[in-house]
Amino acid sequence: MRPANIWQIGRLTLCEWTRKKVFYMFFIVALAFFGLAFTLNFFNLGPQARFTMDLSLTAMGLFTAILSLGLSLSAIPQDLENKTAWCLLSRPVSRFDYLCGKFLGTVLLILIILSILTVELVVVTFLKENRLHWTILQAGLLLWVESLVLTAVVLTFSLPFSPPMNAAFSSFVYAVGHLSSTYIQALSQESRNVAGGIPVLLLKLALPQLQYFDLKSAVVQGYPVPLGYTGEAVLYGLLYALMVLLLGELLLSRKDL
Amino acid sequence: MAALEIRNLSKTYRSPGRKPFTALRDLSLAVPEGGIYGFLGPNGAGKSTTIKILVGLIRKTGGEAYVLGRPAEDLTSHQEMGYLPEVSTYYPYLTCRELLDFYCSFFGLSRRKRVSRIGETLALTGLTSKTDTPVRELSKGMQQRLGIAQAVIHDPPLLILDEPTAALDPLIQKEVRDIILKFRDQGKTIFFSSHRLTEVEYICDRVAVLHEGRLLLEGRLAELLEGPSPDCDVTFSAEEGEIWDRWRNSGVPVARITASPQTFQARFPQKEIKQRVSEILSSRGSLLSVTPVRRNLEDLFVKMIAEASHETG
Ligand SMILES: Nc1ncnc2c1ncn2[C@@H]1O[C@H](COP(=O)(O)OP(=O)(O)OP(=O)(O)O)[C@@H](O)[C@H]1O
Ligand SMILES: [Mg+2]
Repeated sequence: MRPANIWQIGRLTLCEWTRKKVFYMFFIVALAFFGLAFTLNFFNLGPQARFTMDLSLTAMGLFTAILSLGLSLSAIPQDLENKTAWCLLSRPVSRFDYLCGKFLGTVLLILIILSILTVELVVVTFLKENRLHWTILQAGLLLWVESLVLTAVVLTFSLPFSPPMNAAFSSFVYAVGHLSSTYIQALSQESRNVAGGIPVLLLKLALPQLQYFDLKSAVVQGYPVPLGYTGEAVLYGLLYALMVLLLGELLLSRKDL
Repeated sequence: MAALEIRNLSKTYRSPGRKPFTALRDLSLAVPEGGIYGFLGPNGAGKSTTIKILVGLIRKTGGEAYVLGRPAEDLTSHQEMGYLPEVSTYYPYLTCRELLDFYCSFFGLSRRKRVSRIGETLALTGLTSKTDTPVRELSKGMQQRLGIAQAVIHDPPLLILDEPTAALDPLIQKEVRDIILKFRDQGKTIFFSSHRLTEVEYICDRVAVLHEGRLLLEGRLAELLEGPSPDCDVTFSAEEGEIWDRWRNSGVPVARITASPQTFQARFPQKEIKQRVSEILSSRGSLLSVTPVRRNLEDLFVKMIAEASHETG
């Protein structure tokens, strides 16, 4: 693994997206949506404002998930299809560098978009309530960490699966990832013995615990979120994404291009 | 040390739901350093498969492959090798300069060195005027030249080119050939696959011919084409209706040279020449030339492939 290679490939991936016009359309629509949501309720305080905040964060979460999926679904298949990967991988670039580069470019792009949306949200709430909501920044950060996990999953799934299959599987992982702790809690309550406990534990390890990254209710209710929690969630997300990428490397290194 | 060395290389493609297909069987080959090496074979012979194993894009299923003394799977061997794929698109949204800078960025060159390499390479491949043109606006011939530029951008001692002149017009074919010759003069080793036998004959020092994944023939071109030729071409002029009619009616391979009236050409085995020449002279014709037919690669290639296909049924 060479960080410099990963950086170069990441930069190229980022550049690829920013030179596509469709990307700006997408972006402007998202900005406009948030702008609209807030100006409509600009002078409302209380429950209505909470509702708007909830809606905005939900929309942001979905938007991030769709972005991760949309950006990474065909990133590698397309490179293999039109053979742009051939020239790249005939250089001293390992397949892991390539995978990580694609990952880096995608999550950097999401970072830029999410930062703009998060800052917009912070500024608008500041204008409205005259106080800074730091938890919004934490919520934004964790949404980005969630996108790391999702992007890694979609990129890795794109190696064995076709894009439609990948979209289905990844959406499934996203949905189950958000439900998993509730579900697993229920499961582990049912199977208290060791024999039943191991599969439950494995399931818990295999599926990403995505609601770890969900700070919506804390932001809406106005609870502070301890930094320790955020740090833990970031660490979990990073490790999970890394594991998935390592699995991807295993698949990619066996592939005949 | 050989630039490329392949020992008992084999490759079987396996994909789920389909019968395994063996594209290479027990191929052994050594490409010496320096010079141009032509890698020939009909469609589907396994040329691209061999090349892709050498550049690390696909995995061999048996044998060994070395690039400049290091195993082909070893990433460090990629440091000193340039590769032009058989088909490929380059990132359409980058300009030629950006594309070359990207490909150059994996070799640890300084910024200054990179800038100067990009300038030199664009000049060498005749793309200087396209430096800031996006790749998607280049014609096919320019894209092919850009392909060569990306292969040599880091000034590697070894070039592996998969059909560098395929689908190009004769003028650009010649340009690409001239570029390849320039690299040879710089002391690089060039290993390239091709179907164009005249081109190969013109520029290669050595050739290998592959057929159905096996090596049919390998050696120095001069040696392969050497040896007394059994035939001569006789050019003569004669009155219409004289010897021309007589020979044509008796099945002698004689043809009129359309460009000049009453001039004919016939091909005879060497041992018949004396008798045929006296025939021409005795029927008041005049002899213009007798030239031995040079063995050429195309005849050799066609003969070898025909024999090999015959053997395998
Ligand atoms: N990914 C693959 N899966 C299965 N078979 C393959 C694959 N790639 C190539 N082949 C088969 O392997 C054989 C050799 O293919 P290869 O591309 O090496 O031929 P080639 O000599 O380069 O031919 P051409 O001159 O047409 O480029 C062919 O019969 C081809 O159908
Ligand atoms: Mg080929």
